[in-house]
Amino acid sequence: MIPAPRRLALLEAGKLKLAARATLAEGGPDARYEAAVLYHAAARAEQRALLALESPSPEARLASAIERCACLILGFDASAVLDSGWADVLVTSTAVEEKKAAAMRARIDEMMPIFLERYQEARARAPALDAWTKAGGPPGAPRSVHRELDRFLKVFPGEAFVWALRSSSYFYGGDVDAAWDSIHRALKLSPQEPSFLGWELQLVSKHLPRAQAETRLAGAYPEIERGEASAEVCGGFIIAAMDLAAKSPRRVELLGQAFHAAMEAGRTAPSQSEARRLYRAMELGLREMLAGRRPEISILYRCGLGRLAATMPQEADWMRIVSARTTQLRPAA
Amino acid sequence: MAEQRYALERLYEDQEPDLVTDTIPAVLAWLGATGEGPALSFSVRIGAKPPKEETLRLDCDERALESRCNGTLDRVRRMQSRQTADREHITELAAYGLALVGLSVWMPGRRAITFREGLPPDILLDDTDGALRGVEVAGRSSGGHGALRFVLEGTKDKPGGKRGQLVERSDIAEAHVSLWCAAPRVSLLVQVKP
Repeated sequence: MIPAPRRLALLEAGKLKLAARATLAEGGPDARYEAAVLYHAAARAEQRALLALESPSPEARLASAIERCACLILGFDASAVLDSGWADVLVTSTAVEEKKAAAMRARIDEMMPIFLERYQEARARAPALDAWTKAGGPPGAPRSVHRELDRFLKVFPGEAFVWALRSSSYFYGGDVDAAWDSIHRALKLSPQEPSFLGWELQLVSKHLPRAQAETRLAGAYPEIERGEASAEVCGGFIIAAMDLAAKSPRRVELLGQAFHAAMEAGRTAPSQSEARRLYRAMELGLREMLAGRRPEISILYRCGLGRLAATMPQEADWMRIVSARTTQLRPAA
Repeated sequence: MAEQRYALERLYEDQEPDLVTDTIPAVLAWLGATGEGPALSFSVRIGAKPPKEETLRLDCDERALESRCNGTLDRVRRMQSRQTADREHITELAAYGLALVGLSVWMPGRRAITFREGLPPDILLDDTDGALRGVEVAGRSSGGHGALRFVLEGTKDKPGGKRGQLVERSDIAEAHVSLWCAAPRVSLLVQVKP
């Protein structure tokens, strides 16, 4: 007898995979992306099906890893396959007798080299993107990077992180609407990824009308207040709240919430990390703003960010530079 | 030769509707079934030693199918419009749908619980840890029984075929292979394990 949660998760996974295939069969300009979204959801359902088993055998773990990896391959997500999907297959294989594991892996072992070749080809055709990601994906990417991001996404439309990077490149290129659409594409693929959630929240104040943006922030704040939000979400919230505070009658409330978000983000950041120092600086800066004073750049020196402060012009809005630094999407190598 | 008659809309009752909805348009598109035309006939070879020949007459009442799932006919038209580079998905999806029909006709009462992409069998009937039961599926546009036999048994260059893949898996207790060809309309249903 299959436990009900497992039965439901397996049924959902099966339905999503069939829906993905049907989407590809029906075709259309966005079919591969839409199918990728469905395959990503199927991979998550497969994970839930595994978690529903009380004590899964090594074979059940391997079968689940194979199925999830296959969904991510078919979901055109190179990062997810290469960073975790394939790793899970290899790790779970070690607990299964060699001959048995080889028989179970026969199909995925045929899929993987073809996928890898397609990925290597796509990366080889993106030298500017390669250099940009190795440099940490700084704002203001050159045009060649934009072109290569688009070309890469044509081959791997399920690559959530590249959609997020495209959002960032659109934003710094001045196209907020396209940045908004791209981060939503990333979120449809990976709805729980904290850095995507934080970046989307940051764009709220730039993209939505003020009242709507304030409602979105009001919806996000309870998670921060409960101490359950990630540092990335707190960071996105701070930027959006500071933006809105400048033109809102709810200025004090918004700055107060941003202050609390900075404290929360600092609490969750690793100790002695740059992130923790950045959030501490923002916390002190926001305290000054709440008291009606202009935050002095000396705060950065006090928080151990002297090297950053020394390279900033005196008149620079250091709060914005610091907050942008905390929410920057960091591309994988 | 025995004849089995099956109305495609019955699949919504015999199997999980969630696993049926997306396969029906592909079956109709793949076989070119339109309107209320004559039933589609498949010559089905069941088992191996010796095989039993039966005819499957498939009634595809589009109105009945549309009433079970709105938009079915639009989806058929999109699939038939040939604007997609991923045409092989129609064949695969249609084969899944026909495999569900085969399951309902020749193994009444057995129901698919999920579909798999990464490891055989494609359709799981029972996922008991270490004793899986299921059906491996494939479709071919042409080639008849000869092409299906290659899928089942493999070729000189690539021996084993689907039978070999399933037989060597010790975590599978029961396995069937369900193969379908559109031109000529033939099928091969074989239990390869136990």
